[in-house]
Parts: sequence; C-alpha cells; structure tokens
Amino acid sequence: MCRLFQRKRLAKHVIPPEVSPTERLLRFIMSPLHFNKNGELRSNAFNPTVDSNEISVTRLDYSSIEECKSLAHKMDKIDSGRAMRSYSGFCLLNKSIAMDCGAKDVVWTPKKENPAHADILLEEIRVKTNGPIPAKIQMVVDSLRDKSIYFKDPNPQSERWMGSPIHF
Amino acid sequence: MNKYNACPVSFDDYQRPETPYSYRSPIGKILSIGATAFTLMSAYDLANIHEDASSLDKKVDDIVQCENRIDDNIRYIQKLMTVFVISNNDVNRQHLLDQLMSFRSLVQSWDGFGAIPTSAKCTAAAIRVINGLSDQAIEEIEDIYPNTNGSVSFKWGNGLGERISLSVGVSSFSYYCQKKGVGVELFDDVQITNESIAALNADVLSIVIENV
Repeated sequence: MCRLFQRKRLAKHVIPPEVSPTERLLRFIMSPLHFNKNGELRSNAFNPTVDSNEISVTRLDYSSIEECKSLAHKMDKIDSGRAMRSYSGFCLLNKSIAMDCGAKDVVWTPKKENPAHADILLEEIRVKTNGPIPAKIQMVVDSLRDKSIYFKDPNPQSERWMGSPIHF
Repeated sequence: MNKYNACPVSFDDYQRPETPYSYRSPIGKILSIGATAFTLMSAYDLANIHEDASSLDKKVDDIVQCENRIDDNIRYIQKLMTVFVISNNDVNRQHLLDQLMSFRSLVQSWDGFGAIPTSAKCTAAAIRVINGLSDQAIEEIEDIYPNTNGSVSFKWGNGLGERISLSVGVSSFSYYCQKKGVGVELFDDVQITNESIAALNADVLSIVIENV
C-alpha cells in the first residue's frame, strides 16, 4: 500500500519534457514591488531575468500549490523587520496564452530545487543591464500581465493554499 | 544808391528819442548798473533754472529708468510666479521624483531572481525625461516602477485601451505606442535628447488628450 502511494507520488513528478499548450503555468508574485499604488499588478511581475530573454514559471500540473508556496517563500526578503519582498500570490497562464502574447516558446528547464521549472522564451533580444527594455519585450510583458489571472493568497503565511481553486 | 536809400528816413536823420535820464547822468549810471546787475542776476537765475531743469530732466530720466527697472522686476517676478505656480500645481512631478529616488534603495536581487537596483545614471536619465515632459504628460502617468535590469518604466493609457510603455536606461529609452486605428509603433534605443523627449511627449499627449 505504502509502495503504491510512493509510486503515485513519483509518477506525479514524471514530467514530460514538452510543455503542452493548455497546462497551467504559475508565476510567483511578490509584494509590494509587483503592485502599483492602486493595488493593480504591474508588468514588472513578468520582467525577464537580467541579461536573458527568459521568464521563469512553474508547471503546476507537475508540482503542487503547496510546493510553489514553499518555493515562493524562499524568495521572501525581510530587512530590518520590514518586508522588502514577500510572497503575495500567483499569476496563472498557459503556453497558449504566452504564445498569443508574443512569446517565442515555453520550455521545460528543471532545477534542483524546482523540477517543474519552465521558462517563457521571448524574442532573441536580450534585456541588457541598465539599458532600456526593448519595446517588443515591453509589449509581450504587458500582454502577459493583461492576459494572465492573478490569484491572491488570502493567507500567505499558511503552508496550505486557502484561496480559490487555481484554474482557468 | 545803397540799399538803405529805400528807407524813407536815413540813419543820419534819425533822432534819438529823448530819454528821461541821460546815460551819462549819475542816476542814469546807477540805473544802468542796476539794470546790468538785474540782468546778470536774471541771467544767473536763468542759468540756475536751466541747471535745475537739466537736473530735473536727469531726475525724470532716473525716475523713468527706475520705472523701467520696476517694470522689468515685475515682469521677472511674474515669470517667477508663473514658474512657481506651475511647479506648485505640479505636485505629481515632485512625487515622481520622490518615487524615482526611492528606487535607489532597492537591494541586489530585489525580485528574488537576481534583479539589480536602479543605478544613479538610470535615475538621472529618468529625471531628465521627467523634466522634459509637459505637465499634462506628467499628470497622466499611470505608473512608474523599477525593472529587473535597473531601468525605469513609465506607463500611460486611456479608456480606449491605447497605451504607451516607456523604459528608460542609462543613455537611451525604448517605448511602444499602441493606438487604435494606427496599430503599434516601436521605438528602440532612442538616445535621450531634447528632441527625442519632445517626440515622446507628443506621442504621450496624442494618447492622453483622447482620454481628457
């Protein structure tokens, strides 16, 4: 019985290399930097990593929301008792949406701490350090912000997800 | 025949009329001296009056100059007041600068993915852009935020779904302008000059004026 459960758990982590167009992808959202003064999500929540053309996401269908929360909390940064950056929720999208927004592809890029990690690839234009973000990338990023769905975590400190079910 | 011949009475015939006092008499002399003194005094007075008049003219000139200077000063004060009123009305501009300065306090990897803080040069470039934009363009800024690569973004939009997204780097900016009926225009790596900021300002106004 125990083996059966273990197999099931392992089966969950057998991740197909190809990202399907409809599988759920999550982007971690942090406050306060990803929100404007009106509490609306900013496009910088989807900014590509520095000196790259990739936007990190997690393939939720091959992970769990609790694992995602745990990973997101690892990015929390508290300085002098004040939260400089704290996990606030997730943005949901899929490959199909990403491609509609102008992304080039979504590829599986597993990492030790996050085997379900994937990257949304943008055009072959790299975002240079201290340079302006190319207009084309700004468009894609704005579009991703517009078309993704933000799920606010009602209880970010809890280990369990207590918000509304994450699906389209 | 000389020209005087035409005159009915010649000089020789001219008789000096009898005066009550002869010039040679003492009274005449006194009167003559008195008259001369009076004339001299009058001349002196006249000279004084002339002097007074010229000094008055000078004073009038001085007053006119003072008035001109006062007018200049008033114009200068009015100019200053205009500037003051604009900057006083434009709390948004100061607020933007405050926001920009706050980005300088970001730490390394502020997004958790290795984001770099906004550099002093990027901040200076963004301030230059802010100073070059018109008041209306400044008032209509929807959002300003730091990017993961150290650049600064500005957003404008209207109720029609039209928008401008601007990213300012150290020496250049990039933006796209999305307008209905026109489509999307992309501007990449535009050097920051007065002319390029003016062009950006015109694009922003074309969006926000629709919104007004």
